[in-house]
Amino acid sequence: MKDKDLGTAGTGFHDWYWQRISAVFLLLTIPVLMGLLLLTYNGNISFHSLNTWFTHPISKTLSNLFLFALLTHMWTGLKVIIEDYVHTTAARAVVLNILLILLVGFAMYMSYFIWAEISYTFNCIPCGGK
Amino acid sequence: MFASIAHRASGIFLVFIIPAALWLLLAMAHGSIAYMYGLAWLQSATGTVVLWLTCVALFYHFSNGIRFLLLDIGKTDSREAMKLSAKIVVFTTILFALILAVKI
Repeated sequence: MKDKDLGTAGTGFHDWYWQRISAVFLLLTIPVLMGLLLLTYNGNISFHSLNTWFTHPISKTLSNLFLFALLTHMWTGLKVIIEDYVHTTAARAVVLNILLILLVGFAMYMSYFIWAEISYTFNCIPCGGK
Repeated sequence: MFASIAHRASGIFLVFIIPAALWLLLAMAHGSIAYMYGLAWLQSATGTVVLWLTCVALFYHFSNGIRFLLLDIGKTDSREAMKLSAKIVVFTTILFALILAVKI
């Protein structure tokens, strides 16, 4: 691709590309999340099977990958919307910085939630609980 | 036109609700007490309505996202094809919403 008409910041193609990459990953993984939630809602998944599935290292890795794809998609999508409706550069910078800090903070919190099993405070089978 | 605006609207809704859904599912997977509370909330009237709304918004964003991806690889590259696919997406979503409202 030739370097012309890339927009003021020159990162438009990059954003577009990552939005599509994360979209394809979410396309494959989000039915699993919603399926599990609906099956749990219907009473088809007991606590024991849910706990066994989510404490496996592979599902922890997939949860974390899902989290990163979700946050990438949220960032690129919200950036497009904010840049469409917020017109001054200063306001954009402020809004996008606040958004970025919130998203990165959420990513850290959820990564801890996935790996460290915050449920030490609850009862967790591999932690010796019920 | 409507399809694109609705894609944004459902996207903004999902930004708030999908991380919450992930958090809820992980909390329910990690603690039996959290599982109990989570299931009780999900099966309450509020939880059911929120779950239904989430599924409908996600279904719409999902199908319309596939439509945009097809546009990007040049499969539906005409005005008529885009109008037709937008209609298909909207009607499929309405059908899905009705079926889910009955089944849920």
